Amino acid sequence: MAANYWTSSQYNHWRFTRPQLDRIRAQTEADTGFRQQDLGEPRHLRIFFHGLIQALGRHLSVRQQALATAEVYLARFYTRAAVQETNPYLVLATCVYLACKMEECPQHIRSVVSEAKSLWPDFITHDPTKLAECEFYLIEELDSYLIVHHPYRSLNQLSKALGASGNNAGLSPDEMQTAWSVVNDSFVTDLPLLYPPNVIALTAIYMSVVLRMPPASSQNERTRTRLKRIMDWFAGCGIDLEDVVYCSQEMISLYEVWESYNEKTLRDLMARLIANKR
Amino acid sequence: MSLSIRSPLGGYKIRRDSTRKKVLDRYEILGYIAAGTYGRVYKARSKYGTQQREFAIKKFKADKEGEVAHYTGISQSACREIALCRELRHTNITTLTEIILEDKCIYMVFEFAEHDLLQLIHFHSHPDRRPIPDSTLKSILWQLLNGVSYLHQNWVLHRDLKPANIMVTADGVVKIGDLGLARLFHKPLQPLFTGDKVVVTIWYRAPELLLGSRHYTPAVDIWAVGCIFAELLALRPIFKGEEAKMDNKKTVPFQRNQMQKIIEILGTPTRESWPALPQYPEYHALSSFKTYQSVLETWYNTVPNATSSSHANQSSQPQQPARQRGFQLLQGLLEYNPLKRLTAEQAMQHPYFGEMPKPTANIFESVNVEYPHRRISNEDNDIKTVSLPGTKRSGLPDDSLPSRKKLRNDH
Repeated sequence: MAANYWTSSQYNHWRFTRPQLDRIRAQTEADTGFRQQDLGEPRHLRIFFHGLIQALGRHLSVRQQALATAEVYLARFYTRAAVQETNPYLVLATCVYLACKMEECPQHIRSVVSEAKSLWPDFITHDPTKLAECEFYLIEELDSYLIVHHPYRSLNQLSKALGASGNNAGLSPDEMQTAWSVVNDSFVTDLPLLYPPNVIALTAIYMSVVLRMPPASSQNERTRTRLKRIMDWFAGCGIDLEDVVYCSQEMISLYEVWESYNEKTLRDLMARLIANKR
Repeated sequence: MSLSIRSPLGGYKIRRDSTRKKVLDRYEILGYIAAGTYGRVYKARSKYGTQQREFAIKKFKADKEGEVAHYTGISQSACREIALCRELRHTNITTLTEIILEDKCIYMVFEFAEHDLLQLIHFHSHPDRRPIPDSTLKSILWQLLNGVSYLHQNWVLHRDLKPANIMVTADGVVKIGDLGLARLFHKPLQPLFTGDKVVVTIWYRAPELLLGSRHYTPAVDIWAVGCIFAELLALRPIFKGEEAKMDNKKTVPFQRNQMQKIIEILGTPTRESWPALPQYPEYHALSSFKTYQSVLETWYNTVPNATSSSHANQSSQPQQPARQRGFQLLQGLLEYNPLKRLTAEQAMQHPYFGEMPKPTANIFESVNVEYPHRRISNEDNDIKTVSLPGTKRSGLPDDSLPSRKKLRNDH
């Protein structure tokens, strides 16, 4: 339900194992006749979409939480539809429009359309009925499950609990900032479709603390004690650490792929995709 | 298939449209039940399955009426209702079976409920009939509180509880319906009063809202439950005020007459029992009222219902404490101060429910009353029509069912 992730539609209907997610995507390829690999590295595409959503969000002054919901809608939508059979600019603008309503910061449909058009004049018309129509298809594809739980709240709770667990174990403002960025970046990956928000939140803490530690050889006594305390707390907090390790690997691998990301390549790809079909 | 900025969903749309199961392929429309600001409700039967289950299909009207329907963006309240109904699952909340999005219209398919509290109250209010039996009344109240408690535990405010919105199935299970005004209250990115100023049908509106409160809390739903409890006892609304309509300047008027009705029965609220009172925007208006003492207990004891009715008097004495418990519970639900008003959980723990008769899972258990079935009309059961005459373009959220409005005026 709305208050409890473990009885929510997100847990019961929109959470998959990796093999399940792969099967769904294979089925969508079979249904549509479009192959994902024709668009290059899937994570480059996700990084590109992420950038577009953040840009539209900035223009509309939308809160991060609503943009996070929009990113989850987009990720869910494209498990069941091929990018090539849609105009992703319209789809993601629609995700932002719907997410704003659900997160109680509604934007007028005309503002969303006009900001999107000013950002991407080649791909968006000023006709709001296109976006309104897309909203119907989006809700349908989401099976009308619109309430999304994010790691932000878990992150605050977990960091508080960690801080209360003993001297010096709590996150520094810098570490907290890093953890928030990791959560923001997790929407570029499949993690929101695979893991509960608290696992992603703990991953963010793990990455902000443990992976930023100086190498063991140059650690002083104080750092070593703190690290031990944090690892003890991790072990006792009730979250499977294997999941956290898996999620960390996904994030690290995302950051590696990000190194070779070139926005222009993606922009050209989109232009070809939509121009070719005109 | 072409994908362009004028046809942005190109092949996807064709693929999706071709696989969608149509409303009329799935359901046979049996008749039309009601209309409101949102659209219309139809009774339907599933065309599949052996059980011949019955459903109520709520069709949201397309925003523009008449002519050709356009996509205009789904209203925020429809989005909330879709999202909440899809997430909530509880015995005492109407069950959403599915949502179908077809031809610019949204169809929400609910399990059909044969009765509702307004219909039950109206049935009993006939002069030749008896009051609602004790066991039925107590079971209704308990199940209603059980549903409200579930909503509040999940940070959902219903905000429009009234007898017409409380359904009862043929096997006697209470189902809270119409979450069209419901909202989550745990993470308001905006204060809950923005966007929709008028909430809850006036007769069930909590005093803090009448006094201009900007913060809705679960207590507003509890007040409405108290009003419904009183109405089940008296078979007429306890605070039947006349609504002051919004003037041309779109300012929300002070509902003076409604406040008057409440004060006449509960007495004038005081700062001693309700310290926050002077902070409400409409506080100054209170000084222009005459001062009243509470007559709730007198009101309660003169209600021609329950244990005081002829058949109960025969067993006289032992009934007295039980009767007193009912009054105490009513008083706790109709507490002026929202901070002191009972919560749904507290109300469910009230000794009233511990006394005989105990609440039952079937409110009709051991009762020999044949309630009439929900009326449906066959005049207009074309669910696919675009134009929906008889629905208002806009209005206050207290859109009662037109066929019911007549009944209501009979009170």
